[in-house]
Amino acid sequence: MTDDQRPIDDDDFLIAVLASTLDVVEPLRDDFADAVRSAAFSSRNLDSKLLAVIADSLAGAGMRSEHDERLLTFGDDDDEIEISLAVGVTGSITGVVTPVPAGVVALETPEGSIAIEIDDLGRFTTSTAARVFRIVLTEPGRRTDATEWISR
Amino acid sequence: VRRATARHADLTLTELATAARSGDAVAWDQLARRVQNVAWKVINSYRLEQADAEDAFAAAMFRLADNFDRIRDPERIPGWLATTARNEVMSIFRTQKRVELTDDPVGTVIDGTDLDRQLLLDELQRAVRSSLRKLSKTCQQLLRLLTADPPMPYEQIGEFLEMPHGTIGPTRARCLEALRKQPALQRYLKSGP
Repeated sequence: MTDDQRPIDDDDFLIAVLASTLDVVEPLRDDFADAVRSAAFSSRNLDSKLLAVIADSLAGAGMRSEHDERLLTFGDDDDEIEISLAVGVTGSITGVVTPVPAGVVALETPEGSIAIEIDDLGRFTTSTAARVFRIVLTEPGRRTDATEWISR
Repeated sequence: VRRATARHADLTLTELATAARSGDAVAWDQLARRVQNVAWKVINSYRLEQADAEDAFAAAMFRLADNFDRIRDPERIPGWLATTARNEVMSIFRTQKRVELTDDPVGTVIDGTDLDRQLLLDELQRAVRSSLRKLSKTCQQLLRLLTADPPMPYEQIGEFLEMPHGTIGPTRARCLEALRKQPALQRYLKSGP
């Protein structure tokens, strides 16, 4: 070991080399990160009520097989509203809102929001290519309800 | 905005969280900027394609936006985000496993390496990265988290990796030694700077 090999023997130097290397080979793109932060904060509706997961078929489960659907139920603290979803691995979503909502139901992804048509029993079918999404209920004159973000 | 950002730069995570909770978008941006690297480092310690890594990052940051004001001690947000990011990666692995077993008999390529980019990489950088990937999972995660800027507190790194606080220093030294011993880096070492 000669003196000119010292730098890489220095732990702090090696960490610095590692840090600069990872910044180059695995960069977090600035424009992407900027867009994510901005969209994430915009999606945060200060007046909305977060509907938490009550039941999740995936909880504690291992790998899903190709036909498996993930069954999820969301609800609020006051038992006023409940949303049940069956999410397929390809992104198909079948759901029911109880009680039948009077307002608009939307599928929200990091890219934006689209309205979902519901039938007179509160049922709906939709699909998404997004990895993460949530269901948002908006009723005029009432608070907005949003499920937690769901990763399919 | 620049002036506002400068004013926010000195605030603690707790102060930023309080301001962001009442709708201060600049405070949120500063808070999220300060912790985003932790999420990215955790995600990149798994072999994911770039698009999947970015999906996991977005999902973790959206969850942070929803939950930062529910985290009792906002100074612990880095640890919370590290765990959330790891959960998002696991969620992606669950669906990829399904793809491997069914649609794609040769298996999904789970490798963040982009060939074109790789060709442009400096030799040392390639050597460092490939050497890093040969280390144990714990070493890879620890070394990546140690490169997060700003740094993640040792205490939270310890909790995330389930390592006693006092062992992080010695483990760091051991992992760096293991990195140095990788043949690709040895070659670089021998050629000298």
